[in-house]
Amino acid sequence: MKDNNEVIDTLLDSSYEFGFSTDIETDVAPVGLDENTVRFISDQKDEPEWLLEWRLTAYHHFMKLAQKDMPGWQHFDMPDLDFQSMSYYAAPKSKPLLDSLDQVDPELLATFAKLGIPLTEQKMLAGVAVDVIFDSVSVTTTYKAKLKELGILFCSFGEAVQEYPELVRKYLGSVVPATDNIFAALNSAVCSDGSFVYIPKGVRCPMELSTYFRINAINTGQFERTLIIADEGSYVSYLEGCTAPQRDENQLHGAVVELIALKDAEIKYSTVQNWYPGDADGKGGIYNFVTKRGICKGSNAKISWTQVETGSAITWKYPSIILKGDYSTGEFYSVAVVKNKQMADTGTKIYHLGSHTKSRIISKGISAGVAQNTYRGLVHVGKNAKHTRNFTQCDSLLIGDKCGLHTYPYIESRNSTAQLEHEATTSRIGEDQIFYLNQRGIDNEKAVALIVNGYAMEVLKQLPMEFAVEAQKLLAISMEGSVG
Amino acid sequence: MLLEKTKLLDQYFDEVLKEQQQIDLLLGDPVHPNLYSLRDMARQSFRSKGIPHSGMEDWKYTPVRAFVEKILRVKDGYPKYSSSAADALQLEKSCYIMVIIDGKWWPHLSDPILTDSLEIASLDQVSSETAKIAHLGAHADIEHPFAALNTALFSDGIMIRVKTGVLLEKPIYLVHISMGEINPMFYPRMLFVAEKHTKVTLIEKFVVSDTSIYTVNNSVSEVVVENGAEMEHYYIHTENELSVNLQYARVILDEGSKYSNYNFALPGSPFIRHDLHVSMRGTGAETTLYGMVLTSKKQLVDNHTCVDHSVPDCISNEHYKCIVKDQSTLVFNGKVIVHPDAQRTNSFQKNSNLLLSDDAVINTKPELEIYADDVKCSHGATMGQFDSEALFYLTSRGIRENTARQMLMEAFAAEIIEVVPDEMVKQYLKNIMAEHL
Amino acid sequence: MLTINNLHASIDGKEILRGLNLQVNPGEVHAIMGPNGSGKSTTASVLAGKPEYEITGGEIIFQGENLNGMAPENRAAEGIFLAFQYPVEIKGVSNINFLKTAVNEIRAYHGLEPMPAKEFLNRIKEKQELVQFSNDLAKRSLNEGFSGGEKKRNEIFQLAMLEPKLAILDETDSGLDIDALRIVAHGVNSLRSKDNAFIIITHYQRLLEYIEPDFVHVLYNGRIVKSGTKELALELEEKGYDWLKSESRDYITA
Repeated sequence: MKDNNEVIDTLLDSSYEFGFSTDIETDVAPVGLDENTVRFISDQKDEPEWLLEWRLTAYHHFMKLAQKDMPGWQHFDMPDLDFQSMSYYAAPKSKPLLDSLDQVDPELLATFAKLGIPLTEQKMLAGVAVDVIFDSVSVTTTYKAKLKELGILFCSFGEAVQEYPELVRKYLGSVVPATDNIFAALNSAVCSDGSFVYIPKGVRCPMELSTYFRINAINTGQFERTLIIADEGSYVSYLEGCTAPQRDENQLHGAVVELIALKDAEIKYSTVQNWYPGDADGKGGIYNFVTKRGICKGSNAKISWTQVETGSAITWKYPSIILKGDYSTGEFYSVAVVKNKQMADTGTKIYHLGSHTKSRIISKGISAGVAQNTYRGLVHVGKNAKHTRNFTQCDSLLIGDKCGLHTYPYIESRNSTAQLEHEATTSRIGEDQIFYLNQRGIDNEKAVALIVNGYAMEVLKQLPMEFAVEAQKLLAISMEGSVG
Repeated sequence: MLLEKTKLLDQYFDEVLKEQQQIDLLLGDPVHPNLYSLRDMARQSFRSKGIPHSGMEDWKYTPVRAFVEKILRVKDGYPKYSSSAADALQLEKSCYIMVIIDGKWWPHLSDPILTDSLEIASLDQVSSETAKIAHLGAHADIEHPFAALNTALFSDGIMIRVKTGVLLEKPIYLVHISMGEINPMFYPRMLFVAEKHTKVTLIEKFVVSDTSIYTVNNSVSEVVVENGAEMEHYYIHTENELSVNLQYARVILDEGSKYSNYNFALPGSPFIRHDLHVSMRGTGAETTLYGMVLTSKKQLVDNHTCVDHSVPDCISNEHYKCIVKDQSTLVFNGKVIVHPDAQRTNSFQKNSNLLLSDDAVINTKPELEIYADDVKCSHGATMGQFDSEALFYLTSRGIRENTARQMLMEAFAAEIIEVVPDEMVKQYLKNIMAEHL
Repeated sequence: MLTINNLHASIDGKEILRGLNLQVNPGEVHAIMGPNGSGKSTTASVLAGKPEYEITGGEIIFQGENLNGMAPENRAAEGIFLAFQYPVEIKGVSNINFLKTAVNEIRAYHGLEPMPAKEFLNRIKEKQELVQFSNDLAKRSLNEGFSGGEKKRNEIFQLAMLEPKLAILDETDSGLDIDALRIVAHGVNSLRSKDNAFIIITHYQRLLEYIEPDFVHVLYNGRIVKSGTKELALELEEKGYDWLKSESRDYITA
């Protein structure tokens, strides 16, 4: 067996596979943020007056928060974010109104092909409806017509504002208020595009809905807004994937996702996040400050978040669930991998407000190099939430002796009938395990990938089939160069 | 109005700090001159932070200000407690009893020390200055607001030093009596040193006297367990509703030493905050922290423990169990830090809670911070009611539901009480526990 | 002693017992057999008054009193004993303390003084021998770390200590090796009298080789579909339960 550190060093050299940028002309808003920026974005998107007002309120709140200290509880030093030095809007120039893939800029299509995004005919046959967000703008939504037959609305957020303003107005900001935190306020002020999904009563969405996000333009922040509403008795499975080109400077991604599950509805939301993590010295990479929250509004509703987080220089993200309806269920499954100088502070918050609500949290953290990985989670049981249950399992896997892995579970209960259970363990990849696999003819790198995949299996199996395969590959790639 | 009151408390501390600074200038530092600059830093640290508030992560669930504020109203005739403090002396047999009133050691009320294997002295009368100079103020973290306040304000305290190689058979029993005789808030300071290859048992019990007023005890202990030494350390809280306790202890463990802490809090005090920070500085050290907390009425009991492994091959074990009743609030924060290079650390932590009322609140946070890979660490936290299967089993044998609940509660507590090695303390705890369950 | 009339019971809104009838007289031993999921354990739990189960129809009359709504501890005091299929482990409660509490609470229910300590200890000693229960086991926490066989022997030990009128043995034979089975059966046989009765719930005929029943009932789909003497048990052993399904369908539709 090779010396641990040597192997780690060579393997850590493996580079980001998706780090190419695409040479496409873009419309970019002037650098900086003021009221005019907000008006510019709203104007570009031809938005109604109420939305502009909503944005401006958020903008003023953001400016207030920006005067104060940035949040300080996370387990990393908040980077100096200069909100005035980035651009808040970039759109591919040749864009608008595309009905079929033929009209999409071929270079863009080539980009997607390179990314392995299921945009091609072949993948479409696999039954995935995809919305693609390129920098700030949604470029294409496939399968729209077919979904419409079922009454399912799946389009870009901008389009939804035009076509279904009443739905957008009713639910926008209802789960993540514009005042929630500084990044949510910023998003509400400058959100450019994103996806919108509405599943009508009793409809089971027959295919996975999917969005791919890509930050392409230089020096641009991406602030997409996703809104998913599952009406009574409906079901939808939704997947988002993200990539960004390799750039030396940091880019901010400040998305907001809101999920609303009404009575008996179920939303399954899966994320494979592979934003550019920066290089081995910690140069560049995406700052991923995202607010995701769902509410089980009616009884017997269910929301589950599954995330595979391998990218970003910094990840700050706590997909949360408010269990308001009685007998509703929340689930959170997470694999977070960091290496080099990446930092992740991620987890979930579950609010048990209704009685007989149940939740389950499975978090698998993996840390290599000099990276820091933190699970931070909250389980809250309200005074009137009778007979609730939670089970939380946080496992940490350390690879190498210079990384860090941390667990901060907050458990708050104010009802005596609640049954809450939290467990956390820490382990490393044992030399004996590696040796055993070596002896059976498996090299170090594959052995690590194998072990890590096994370690993460409980979460990966929650992903829709074909994405589970992609996620496994991604994990293997991320683990390249992590251990001996 | 609220703002005014807030200001009053801040003003109060501002004046107290200034006053003490002048006294120090006038008399020189009462304990030893090296501390002068430390007190300066502590003063600055407290001034910059102020009384902790809910915006500070470590005080998120613990509104301490409200409880400290009441000292300002003491003079307006706060009701006096009138029952007896006889309970304080239940442990007297076969112990060295040390009586500490409002943080001041009273030798003439205490047992004489007839052995030269032990040094017990007021901080200003310590004969061997070596231990004092090496440790006093060296371990308490003045980033902690109340450790800072104590450091800036303590005027006396007690040092207990067990001399090298001595295996002390009799436990040392410190009875802390809160009276508020001179001031409703006081600042006890303790330094305990178990020198190399010694063995010692320390029992600290907190009570109030029958003439007590509302008091706030803001104490700091620095505990040093040298190479190969073993210390058993008990905290027993049986104060009443007039006594607020802000305890801070920092424990330093040298090579191959063992430290076991047993922390019992029983109904009474409206507010107890314990910060217990154990640092493993020598390889092969072992620490065990046990806690049994029983809260009732409107009590708030907050235990913040931190075990920090900075060297390889140490073991830590922690188990805190809590039974929470009525309108009380329980806070538990158990942190384990494994520093880089602290390889082959074994650290286990458990926190089990019984929440018995819908008006009560539990906030718990077991934390792991790990920077080394070859470690075995785990923590677990549970929260709930009685196991319904167990309840049914007992009642199906003819045991009434109330009795069955009682039995299950005692069983829950027994897990901690049974591990208490000192028979005398164990029996005492069983008795007082039974009274309260 | 016990009369069950058209009993319906459900858990979490799901009906398990659908019209159960049974008559048990003093001195009798009844065996209730049936395939998995037929309602055997539910019957035991409902008789003992497990709170999760809801009686939705019918009645259970025990010594002239309707048990419906009676707390489990009062049923126990009236003389009903359930030997659990899965006895719970309770850390920190010693076996002895537990038994002492149970014995004395039942005595209190009947207006009797607590049992004198000496008498209690003598009784423990005597009954322990019956199931070859060691002193060491009796001193440990209730069932904690006991093997399967030890747990079952503890159930019979408690049965001996509490001297109930009606004992229900819920799959007491499951997970027992032949020696443990013999010990358990010996315990039960020596406790049989003309004044008490037993209901033995089992999946297999094996236990009935050692404890001879007066009656055998077959439970299927929440009701008794066939009753007979011990020969019925042999028949079941031979044929299994599958044949029942078709037959019981006839029975139900008939």
